[in-house]
Amino acid sequence: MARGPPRRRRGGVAERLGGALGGGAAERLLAPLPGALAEHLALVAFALAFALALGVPLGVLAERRPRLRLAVVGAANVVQTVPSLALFGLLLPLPWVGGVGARSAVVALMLYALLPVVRGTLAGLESVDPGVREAALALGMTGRQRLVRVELPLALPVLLSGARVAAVTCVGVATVAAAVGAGGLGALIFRGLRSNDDALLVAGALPAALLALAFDLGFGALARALDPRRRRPGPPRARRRLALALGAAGLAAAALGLLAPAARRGGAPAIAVGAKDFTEQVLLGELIAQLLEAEGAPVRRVFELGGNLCHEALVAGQIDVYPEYTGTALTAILGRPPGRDPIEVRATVAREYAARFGARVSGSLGFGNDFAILVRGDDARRLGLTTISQAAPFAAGWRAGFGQDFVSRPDGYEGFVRAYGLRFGAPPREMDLSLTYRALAAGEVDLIAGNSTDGRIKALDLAQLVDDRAFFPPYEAVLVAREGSLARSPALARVVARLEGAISVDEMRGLNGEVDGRKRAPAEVVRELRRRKGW
Amino acid sequence: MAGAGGAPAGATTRRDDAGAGGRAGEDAAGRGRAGQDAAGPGRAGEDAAGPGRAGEGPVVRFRQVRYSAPGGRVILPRLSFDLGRGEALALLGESGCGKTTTLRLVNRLLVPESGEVLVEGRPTAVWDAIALRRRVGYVMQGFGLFPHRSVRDNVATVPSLEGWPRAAIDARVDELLALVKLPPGEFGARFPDELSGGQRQRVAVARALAARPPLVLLDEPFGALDPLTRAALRREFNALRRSLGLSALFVTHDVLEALEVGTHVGLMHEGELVLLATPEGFLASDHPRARAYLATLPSFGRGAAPAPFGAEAWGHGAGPPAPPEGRGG
Repeated sequence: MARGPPRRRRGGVAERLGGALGGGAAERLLAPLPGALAEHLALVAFALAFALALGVPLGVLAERRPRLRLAVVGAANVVQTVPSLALFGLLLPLPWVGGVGARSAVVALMLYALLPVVRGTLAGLESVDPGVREAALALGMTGRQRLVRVELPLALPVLLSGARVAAVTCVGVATVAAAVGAGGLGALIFRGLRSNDDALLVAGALPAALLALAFDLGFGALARALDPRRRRPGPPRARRRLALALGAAGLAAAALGLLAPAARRGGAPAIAVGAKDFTEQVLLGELIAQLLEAEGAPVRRVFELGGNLCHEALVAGQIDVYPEYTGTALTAILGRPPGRDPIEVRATVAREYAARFGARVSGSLGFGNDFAILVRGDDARRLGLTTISQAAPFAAGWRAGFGQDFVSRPDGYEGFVRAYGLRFGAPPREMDLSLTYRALAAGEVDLIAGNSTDGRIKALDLAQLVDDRAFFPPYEAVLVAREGSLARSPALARVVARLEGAISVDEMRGLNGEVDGRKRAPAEVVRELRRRKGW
Repeated sequence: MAGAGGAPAGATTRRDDAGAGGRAGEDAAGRGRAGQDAAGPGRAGEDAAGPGRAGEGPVVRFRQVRYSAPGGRVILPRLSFDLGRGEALALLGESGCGKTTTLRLVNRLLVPESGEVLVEGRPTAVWDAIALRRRVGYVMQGFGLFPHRSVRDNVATVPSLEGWPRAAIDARVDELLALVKLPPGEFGARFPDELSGGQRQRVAVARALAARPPLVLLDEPFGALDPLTRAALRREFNALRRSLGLSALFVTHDVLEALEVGTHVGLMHEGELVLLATPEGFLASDHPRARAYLATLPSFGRGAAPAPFGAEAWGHGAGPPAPPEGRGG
């Protein structure tokens, strides 16, 4: 396995981009772009269309009924102040509107777009000359005729400026929608952030910025074209028709973007495979998905879900299976204190999941994503170290480096040194977690706490010391699947069974390293693994 | 029905005359019922204006109409008058005297608190408001042209609301634009902000007349225009109205305008019609408010004869005569 010189992680941006852009970069960065862009456009277009369909009538109503106006604008204001990620999270468990994927994203975006649209409609209607309104009334127009023939056309420029704000807001907030599995350009940005891949981050952020700019300019042009008071060449009818055609074309393109993937999925009820938003999870999700496809089962990938969204989606029936860690399930989902014994923890989790969520927890996949106490491979070999206890005597001459998280949490640094009676020669250096790996490899520190499946353990020739006093809670990798899905799909049951105990820590490190270190596509890395394993 | 309640044609302010029902208005002192004495005026042109419903009875009749503002302030305590067919009644008075309110009661932009307003014999409360408004032309203060519609489209508003065939609308718009002296080829495609004030006024008049209403309401139709344009437009409107046999109710605070355009002048003060007379009657009235208005006219102020400009405008005996510029349409 070619190792290459370790990449510098913290250089200038240009340098980092340069490094990231090496070897097959164009394909890595550009291949997902059209799809992400189409998803993004579709999210924004649908959210905007719904916001207009709802916001304009609301604005009209609010304008006619002053009492309603306070309520409507107030409510829209409140929605606007909810942080976007929180709004996505709040929507998830709701039936009909919520859930993982594009639907809740569109709803959330629509809610954000609502205020500018309502405001724009209100302000637009209020900008109509009262004399003109009175004339419409006195000439015998019905309420509807006044609205459609006089008030709305005259309100249009101001209304459109509201829609313009809404559109630009949507393009920006839609990047966050990736966190609820809605895809879009945000998926590239998140992926780039997680894997420290600046090129990928820019590949998502730059088109998003350009898209926002394009929407801004587009709406500006539309407002000018439709401004009833502006002189422009050509008869107004033709111009209006052109604007309508443009709008329809935009919406149609967006619809295609949204519906095409759905069409590709076909009609058979697909098994929805979920995965959290980091490399290892995406690899495991991809592995499950490919194995299912090899079994001939249709699959839907719902990857890169943030926080505990996977769990919520599974409980809500929106995904059928996803990889989880027993320690996470015990503490974050079930709210129990951390356990010590891996077998007991797994048993507790399996029992509770079956009882509370109707979900089955598989046996360990063969590795855990635990806190890993790491030293340089050289030191381990030279000193014959395999466990933390064995390393204790050397601590006095060592310097430790830890991420902020490890230093601050109770089951982190303090408990750790107490459990093993460690006394370091100098206070530990607190630094960015990903930096500790490099600091260790470079000899600046001598011991760190990392993640046991990090690809850099292998890439930088580090050695994990066994937690022989079982201080760290176990985070064994397992699969969580809905009982109903297992019963319905024998293929799913077979795949889950096959993966139990099938991947070692070392293998997982290797796979992670391929993606994070060498920037290869997860699907390709998984295919390679299947070939090697004969799956 | 005209005879029914005696339609207190009395324009007097005395409440006790309410039930009296008599024709109070025979004396020239200005309590006269608008128009009967001037019966002739527009009859000839009535065909052009489209048939009013039944030639009998007044086009507009106010019967003891009381109206208060939403805040409760009484604007019209009790107003009664008739507007006969083909007549033009100029409501004269200072701001806030209730003239515009009176106008808005006619096409049911407002509804009387008590009493009733009859248009073509039917109370406005009984009329379908939309149908009523389409049957009554309205030229509002500031004209209220639709800024997003061309001149043609503005003029075509009511016919197109009424669902006229396209060709009929086009023909009617051409006819009207010619009538108000805006050649359709030159002005039809323009937008209101490309017109002068006088041209806008003409468009507003054309728009009000588009569906051949038998009655037009005009709220300060010549306001905010330069004096020369005002004078020209007044003359034109006069001629047009006579040739079409239109009935008109219009509001002004300019006594000269009232005398020149009205077949009758109604002087309003604090919601009451204190004087209703023909222009001659008005000139001869010794009502103090009428004298006060007349005093603002330069020649009257000095007690001189109204000759220099007066003769042409209102010197034609009873009722609107055939004026020189009135081409009998």
